[in-house]
Amino acid sequence: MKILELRLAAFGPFTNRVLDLSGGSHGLHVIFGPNEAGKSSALRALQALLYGIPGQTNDAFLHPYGELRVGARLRLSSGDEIEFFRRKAIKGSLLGPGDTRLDDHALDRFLGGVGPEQFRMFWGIDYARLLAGGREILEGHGDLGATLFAAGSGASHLGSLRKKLDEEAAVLFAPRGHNRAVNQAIGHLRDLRSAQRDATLSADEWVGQDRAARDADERVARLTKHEQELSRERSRLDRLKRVLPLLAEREEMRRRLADLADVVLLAPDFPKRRQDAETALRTAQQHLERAAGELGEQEAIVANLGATPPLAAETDAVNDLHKNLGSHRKALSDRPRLVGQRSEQRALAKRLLSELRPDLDIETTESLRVLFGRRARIQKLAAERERLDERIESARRRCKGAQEQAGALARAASSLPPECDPESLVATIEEARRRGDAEAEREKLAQAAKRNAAQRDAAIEKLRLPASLIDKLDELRVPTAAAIVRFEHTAQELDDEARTAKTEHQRLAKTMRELDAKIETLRTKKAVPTEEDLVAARTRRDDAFGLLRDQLEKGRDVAAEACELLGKGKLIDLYPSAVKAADEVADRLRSEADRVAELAQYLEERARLVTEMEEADAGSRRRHKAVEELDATWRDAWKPVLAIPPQIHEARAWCEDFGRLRERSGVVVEARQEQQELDTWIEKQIKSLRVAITALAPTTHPVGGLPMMLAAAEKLRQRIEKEERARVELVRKTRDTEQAICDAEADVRGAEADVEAWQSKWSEATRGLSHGHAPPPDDALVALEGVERILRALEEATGYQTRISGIDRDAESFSADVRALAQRLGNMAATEGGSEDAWVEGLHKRLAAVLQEEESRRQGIVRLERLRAAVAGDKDAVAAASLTLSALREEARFGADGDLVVAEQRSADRRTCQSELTRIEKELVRGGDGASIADLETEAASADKDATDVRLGQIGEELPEVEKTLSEARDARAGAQAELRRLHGPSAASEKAEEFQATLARLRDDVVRYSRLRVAATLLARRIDDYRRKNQAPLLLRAGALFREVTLRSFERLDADVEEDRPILVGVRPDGTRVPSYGMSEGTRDQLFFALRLAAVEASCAGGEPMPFVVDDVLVQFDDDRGAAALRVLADVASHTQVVLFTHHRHVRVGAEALTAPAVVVVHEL
Amino acid sequence: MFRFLHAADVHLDSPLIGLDRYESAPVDAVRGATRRAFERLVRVAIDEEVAFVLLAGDIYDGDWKDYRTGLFFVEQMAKLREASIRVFVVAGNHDAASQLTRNLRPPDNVHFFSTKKPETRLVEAFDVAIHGQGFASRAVTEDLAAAYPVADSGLFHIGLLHTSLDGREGHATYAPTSPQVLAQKGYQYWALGHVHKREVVSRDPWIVFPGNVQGRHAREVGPKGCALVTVENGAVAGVEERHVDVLRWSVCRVDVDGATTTSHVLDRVARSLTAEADRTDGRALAVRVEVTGPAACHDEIAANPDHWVQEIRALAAGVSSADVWIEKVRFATDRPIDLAALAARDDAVGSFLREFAAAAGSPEETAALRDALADVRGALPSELLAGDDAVDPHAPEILARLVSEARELLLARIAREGAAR
Repeated sequence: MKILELRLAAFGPFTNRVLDLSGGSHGLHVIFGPNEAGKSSALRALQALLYGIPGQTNDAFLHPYGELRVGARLRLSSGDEIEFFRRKAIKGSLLGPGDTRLDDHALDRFLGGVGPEQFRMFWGIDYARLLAGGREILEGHGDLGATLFAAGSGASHLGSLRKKLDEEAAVLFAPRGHNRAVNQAIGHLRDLRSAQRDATLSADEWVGQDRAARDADERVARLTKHEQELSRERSRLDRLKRVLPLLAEREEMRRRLADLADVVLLAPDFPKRRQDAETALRTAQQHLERAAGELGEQEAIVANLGATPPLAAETDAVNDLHKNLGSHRKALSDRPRLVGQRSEQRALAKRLLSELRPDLDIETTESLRVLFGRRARIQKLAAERERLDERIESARRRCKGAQEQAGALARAASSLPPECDPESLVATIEEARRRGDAEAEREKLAQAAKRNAAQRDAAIEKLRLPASLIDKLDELRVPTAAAIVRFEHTAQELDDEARTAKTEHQRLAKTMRELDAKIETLRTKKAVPTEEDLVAARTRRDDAFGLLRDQLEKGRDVAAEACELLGKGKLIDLYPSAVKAADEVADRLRSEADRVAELAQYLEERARLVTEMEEADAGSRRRHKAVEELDATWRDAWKPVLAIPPQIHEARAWCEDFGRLRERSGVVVEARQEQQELDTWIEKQIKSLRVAITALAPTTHPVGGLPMMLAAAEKLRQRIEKEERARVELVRKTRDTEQAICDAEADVRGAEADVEAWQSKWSEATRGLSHGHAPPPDDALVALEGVERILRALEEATGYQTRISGIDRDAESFSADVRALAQRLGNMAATEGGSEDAWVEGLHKRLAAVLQEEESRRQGIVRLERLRAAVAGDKDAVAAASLTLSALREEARFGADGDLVVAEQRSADRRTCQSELTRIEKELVRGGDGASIADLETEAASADKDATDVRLGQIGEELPEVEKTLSEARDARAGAQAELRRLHGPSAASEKAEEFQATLARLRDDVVRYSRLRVAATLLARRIDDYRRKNQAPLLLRAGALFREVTLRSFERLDADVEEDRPILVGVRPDGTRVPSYGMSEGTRDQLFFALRLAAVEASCAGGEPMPFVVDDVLVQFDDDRGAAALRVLADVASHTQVVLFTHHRHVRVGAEALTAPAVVVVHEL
Repeated sequence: MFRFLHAADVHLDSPLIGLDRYESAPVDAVRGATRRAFERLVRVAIDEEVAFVLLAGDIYDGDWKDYRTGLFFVEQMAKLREASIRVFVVAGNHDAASQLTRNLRPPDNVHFFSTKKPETRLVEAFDVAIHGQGFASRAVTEDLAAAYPVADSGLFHIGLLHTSLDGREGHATYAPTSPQVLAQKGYQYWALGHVHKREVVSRDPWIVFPGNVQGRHAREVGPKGCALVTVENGAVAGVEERHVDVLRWSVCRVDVDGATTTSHVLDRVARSLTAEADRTDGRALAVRVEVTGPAACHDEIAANPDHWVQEIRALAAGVSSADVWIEKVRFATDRPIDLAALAARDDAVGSFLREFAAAAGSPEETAALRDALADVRGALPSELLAGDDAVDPHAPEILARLVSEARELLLARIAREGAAR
């Protein structure tokens, strides 16, 4: 997958920022941003783009959460593309063109199963992880497996992960531990099991305890019974001792009572009743005597008083007259004043009437009351008239004002400039604006043209084309794609052949070395004879024999020949040694046949290898020639275009770039044409605008470019439109004013008609109010007030008259009452001569004396009656007391002469005896413990009175002993029962069982956790080992090459050694020195991890759809040379997948820009 | 009209299984759960003024020896005696093995049926005949019901029997018989015991397993109690379920499909737990939580599952006014990305997964793992090496599960650099 374009629409500090990452087939894209430029935001945007914007983000400081957008155009290696935006949302965060919602899984195909963590971990590396990777190599003592796995997964924390797994497991369990969770729980389970056993109550224990409780219960019952028997006996004997004296007393008392059997028992209150009766009789006799005397005296006093005088019977009449006398006198004195006031009011009325209606008499004023009844209507009509007058006045004022305004409007209309039509001006302006801001567009076009031209020039330069060809690009005859493919094919074949040949050559050389080594070994051990050796030995022997025979047979001196052939020595000695040597060779050939054959085989193989190598060399030379020929043909094909053609494998890229250059060149030409067209158009618009302005405003002479012309035209248009609006407004106002005049005149007419109607109603209402015509409203209201005052004066005069008549009536009634009284008293003369009031006064005084005498008489009679009643009462009391005494004698069954006091004495004696007997019997009952007296008598009769005390003594000694034993038995029983109760209740064993299960549950969880961690640790180690075994060779080979590059050949390659039974990673220096990876300097270790990571990424690219590799400022600690080398290496990786390098170091940027072909390096600045 | 109560499988004082007493666990709320459930049962009998109570076996746990348990049973029976309620009991397989039954003297309102032959008891006041036979030994394999007498009078007949009937999953086969055999006796009601899950086997005649009175582990989920039977005019008019359990067990499956963060996961768990707790009528709840479904935060959970178990336990302490005890949490979430896709990658993680698949179950790998786990296995008590909840790390299926969990743990921890530090 490749990111063609990253669109930072709204993210972090970015707004609509687009990074074009399409350069190169994959390309190394260096994104340079100084501090604060948003490098980190861009990096996060990349992650957010592919995997969603996280819930909490630091990149929403400029754009709010809801508006965050980051977009991209992605391409798969199959050519499929997708264009989308990512927004912040849990679902539906992917948006297609036009903000349409994309399926949440739309990206899955492009991500190829790579999750966010894996993308960050495997397809990215940053400085911290580089350092961590280096540190892990050190801490893991260069462990090969762990290092390769870390590089291969991107997880630079493997060492700590393994350690953590072991630590977590160790917290839970250790085989010989005690304090670990699992060990502790196992111990606790043992304890609980035993505790549960201890807490279990067995059946035997229960049965034993139950029996003990029952036995105790029975013993208590037995003892209790015995104690009760003793107590009972003691109480019986005690009782006997108590009741015997009482029984004797009882007998005595019963005898005395028998003696008093015929005595009458008097009631307890008898003496008191007798004494009361005697006292009452005495008192009554004394009272009777005194009352009879007083009665005689009072009867004499009453007889001396005379009869009642007649005046006393007239007491009410005299009092009434005397009471009215005051008001009678006051009325007579008020009368003259009232007569005067009546005359005053009538005179006032008369005067007012003469002013208002001289034609009317004071006695006929009732007709005015009708007018007074119409008062409300007259007032209402008067008010209405006032409103009508105001209405007419207002309408007239409005009419005048409107007429004045009409005059002013006419003057304003005449002062406006003449009317003109702006239509052509408006059309011209619209036309000039049709293309928007044409000047800006022209500027934009010019800039775009410049930029395109610059890019085109850069592309030409990049493609190494001469500048002179700029305008002839279309004519250039670049090799066709088919031709290039042919070349590529051939080159690839040659390359493959060369690689195969090289491998073959290496194999041959290796086999040769091995063969040589084996031959050497065989030979070193002991030279192996060959057939040739045998032939040589035999030839030597035969030669020696020939010489010897010549010497012996022919006597020829063969010394010189022998010396030449056989070496120094005598022939006779040399021959046997030659024979022996030949025999030895023959013997060894036979005895060491295996080794001989082996050597022969090795030698044969070696000869064959030599031939093969020669053939290989010939092939190599042939290929070399073919390569040279291919190169020549290639150069020929490119001659018309480039003196130095691109590499064959880069040609397609070159051609693609060239194609884009052609397109861009076409764009430049088109842009230029477009710009010219725009210029012409603008000129035309300026001219049209000038003509249109001059036509409407001949005095103006506008100058300048299109914007100024447009502004002038717009200003003119606005002025004309403003005048037009003013004109329309004047016409509208004139029309409104004329309407207002008409309305006001209509109002005046309407109001005048209403006044006419009012006049007739008014005449009707005020008829009779004045003599002659109807008065004006104000006069009418004054006249109405006059009428009201006349009527009020007349009403007051009538009131005075009524009071005078009342006084006269009352005086007459008073005189009649006086006369009637005088007549009843027979003294008529006394009332004559107007002295009625004096007579009444005197009579009233006399009445007081008469009434006093009458009161004395009444009191004397009352006292007389009371004395008579007292005498009668005293007589009754004497009779009643005598009767009571007779009844008491009857009650005591005593004769009339007997002494009641003696009878009372005998009755008291009998009562005392009875009470004493009752007391004794009660004591017997109380002391007899509930037994009846008869039972007690029976018991006493049968008792042995003398033995009682003896038995009581015995019981007194025995009982305390029994009680003590009983108390002890009860305590024992309570203890047994408590013990039994204790056995009831909650089961401690059950609680222990529950705790056991709880502990078991925790142990179970802990065992699973421990096992999981142990399995994880074991499996991790095994997987690391698996990975090492399968990937060691290719990864070390490729990483070694990268490491060599990055370390500037300070190391030649990487290899594996074994240290303490485990493979470790070593670096091999050019001189063959082997440096363990953990022994390297810190920087070199970082570079080693870097090389391993890149090798793993490259390998992964080969295995499936590659992802972009994101590198975040890892070159910080690399010196300049190593940094440049690392950049070269990254550019190399960029031929496998897109590499995006974020940096804020200028030297990294400079280094990247300095990189030359073949890598396509694009630098972007934030 | 009269009513009677039918219960079985009380297993007095047998402990609850699988409840780790973690810090916020509501330990006091469930202490002595079987006793309290039985007390509630007695309360129901008294409040409902039942004519009699039937106990169809397994009052005690077989190997339980504490006599206090028997005394507790006697006390409860005495309460029923005060309320003039008679109790009829048959011994179950557990009671036969229990030492408690032999020495205990229950009050005179309690009748234990003979274990030698079927016996019939009459409850004259209600015209009821109760037939029963207890277990003489732990394993009774003959059909006891077959020997029960056939109903021959106008009484209301009840058969009291401890049986596995014609076989019930998870229950040993004891006194096997069949509904047909029971029906042939002409009884109106068969009061059965032994099977811990409530079941009305038949309504003509009524054949009822009331289930046990208190669930004791995570396989005994749902409400537990007894059957309250109403008899009118010599026929069963209704069988009502009365719950007397103190602690309710349940399995709470939480689907976290689409949850992007662990907060979402915890929210969903909390919602499920609240809903579950609301269904317990104020009882304590012991719950097994199973979290399933694809979740973006899979790795975060898989990297340290124990931590998330603690989180859920802490959560449970506050979700409801009811006491909630998290028995176990099983995380079975899936990562949003297919393992097969990951395994196809040509990097170390891909290789890691491929090798996992290739080596799974191989003798060499199995031997290596067994070797790594031998120490802990050697230390384990026998309870953890056999039975339903065994965790013998050498057992193939447990080892396979451990490997799968370890793979997830490793993948997650490798991916989450520094997550477990």
